[in-house]
Amino acid sequence: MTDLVALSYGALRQKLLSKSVTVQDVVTQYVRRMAQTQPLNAFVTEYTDQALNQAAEADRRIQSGTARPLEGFPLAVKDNCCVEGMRTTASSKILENFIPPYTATVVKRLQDAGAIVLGKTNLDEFAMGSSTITSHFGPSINPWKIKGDTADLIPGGSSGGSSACVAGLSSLGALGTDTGGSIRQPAALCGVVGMKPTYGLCSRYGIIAFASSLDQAGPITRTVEDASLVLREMAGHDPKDSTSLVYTVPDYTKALGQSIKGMKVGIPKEYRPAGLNAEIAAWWDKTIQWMKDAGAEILDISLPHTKYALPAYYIIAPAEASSNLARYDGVRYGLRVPGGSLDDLYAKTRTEGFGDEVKRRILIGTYVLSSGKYEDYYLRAQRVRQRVTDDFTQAYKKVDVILAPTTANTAFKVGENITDPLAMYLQDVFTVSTNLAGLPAISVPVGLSNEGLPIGMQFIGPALQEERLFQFASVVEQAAQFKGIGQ
Amino acid sequence: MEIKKQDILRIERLARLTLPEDQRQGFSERLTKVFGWIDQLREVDIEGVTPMVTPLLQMGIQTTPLRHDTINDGDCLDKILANAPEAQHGSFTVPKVVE
Repeated sequence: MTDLVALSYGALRQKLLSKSVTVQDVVTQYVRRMAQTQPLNAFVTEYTDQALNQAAEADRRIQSGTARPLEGFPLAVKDNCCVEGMRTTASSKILENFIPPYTATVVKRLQDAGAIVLGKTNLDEFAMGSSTITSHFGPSINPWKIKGDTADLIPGGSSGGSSACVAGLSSLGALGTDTGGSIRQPAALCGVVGMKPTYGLCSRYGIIAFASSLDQAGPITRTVEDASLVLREMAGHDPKDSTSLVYTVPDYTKALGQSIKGMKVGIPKEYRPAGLNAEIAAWWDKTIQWMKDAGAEILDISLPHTKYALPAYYIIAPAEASSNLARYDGVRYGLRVPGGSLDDLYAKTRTEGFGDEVKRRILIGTYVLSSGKYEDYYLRAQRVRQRVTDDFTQAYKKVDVILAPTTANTAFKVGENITDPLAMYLQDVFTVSTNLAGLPAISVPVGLSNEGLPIGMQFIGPALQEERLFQFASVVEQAAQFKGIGQ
Repeated sequence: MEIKKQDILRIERLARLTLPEDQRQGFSERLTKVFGWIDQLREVDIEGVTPMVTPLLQMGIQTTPLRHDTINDGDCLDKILANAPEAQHGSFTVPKVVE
């Protein structure tokens, strides 16, 4: 009973249903682990008492034979997803004391399926970043270290707290959100599985908006199967989000372990620029070999507009953010800094409440939407977005999935923060195209660098082909036999 | 393209944000650099391409579902005002806006 925190949900559920352990045992161990891993700063706010109470309720359900699909699943929730009565900050000073009066649909569905929320996890402020260093509550720490080195590493971001706690065994799974790579990139840097679903598969209701045409919530877990179980429960149409698709969610677990023999895997040449980290390139080649060994056919493809995806993203995302973040004005909720006039109150509140990176993006977004700049920047970027998307449409006429690295590098040290904004934005180079096109993608850990840090590969699929992604991801998981912390 | 200090002042006003005076010069240089990089978008042939506002159209979704026009929420004034920084008489309060 000592290592319940190291088990996948599949293994744990067997023990729970056979009544060899209780949900209270499980949650108690997770609560203890959360205390041990406090230095990771993965959680902004913990709700351990509530979790233990819910564990007792879950045990009653199991006793009475009415266990739900995720009964007793210890879940961490990114702190930009509202949960009624649980402080939700988006890691921003401006929302430091915000207690939502309602729950995000994706969280509600997971709770209704039996998941138990342990706490709210740290992120880059309003999900704007790739490291959690822009969080008002300070960065989270990656549970992995360089071999023979004690220096703290960043977990990636923006879902850095979610990835850190799943990798560090202080949560079994977590909710993340992905606007330009914010689920997949931290999952890769922390050696866990991260799935960004098709745009519209999961409701955005109750998720603090960053860029509404790009944002999508998804699971971060230690196994592909756990990701498939969580996604199955959170996906599906929600009348409260008009952009959520009317779609019958399949049982993703059926795709696990299915043969990929004869299926076609595209390798985009644009994702192998000169100077790509040699170790990441080598693990990419190794993953390609696993695909061949499993009977898949490998095809070189081109996504010619890849290099334009990032600059287009850095117009579209700030533009949408500047509009979405206009609501933080010090009147209805959040921080308020008094001012002599209403305009003065707005400006003082926003100036004090937002951090530097958020201000920078609001100002960029305001600029590209302003009179005289709108057509030249915003509309141009949206037209380039269509070109990026068309590249994928063409590619999927030839291949079933696309395989590429998730990140260009392994985790970097806290304090070695990238201060050049362009270098920082380049962290997202392998992930943003997928968001622009609204496609699903899954990052799976494949191995460790020579320094001992996790490396992830991602499969990108056509819209609503999550099943296919789980199918390929499970093949890689089998081949890689990646050992996470405590495994 | 150079983003000048006067541009910064204009967007600060539009965004209801105030940068400290000693940061404006640095920010204008930073933005000039970012937009210099963004300007590579001019290389892309976008002739005849419709701006893409949402991925849903790519999936053949032309219209989003409508809800019945019925009241399904309400009577939650206290819950809403609980988060208000200042409230009086069941309303949010703001500085006087009408003389």
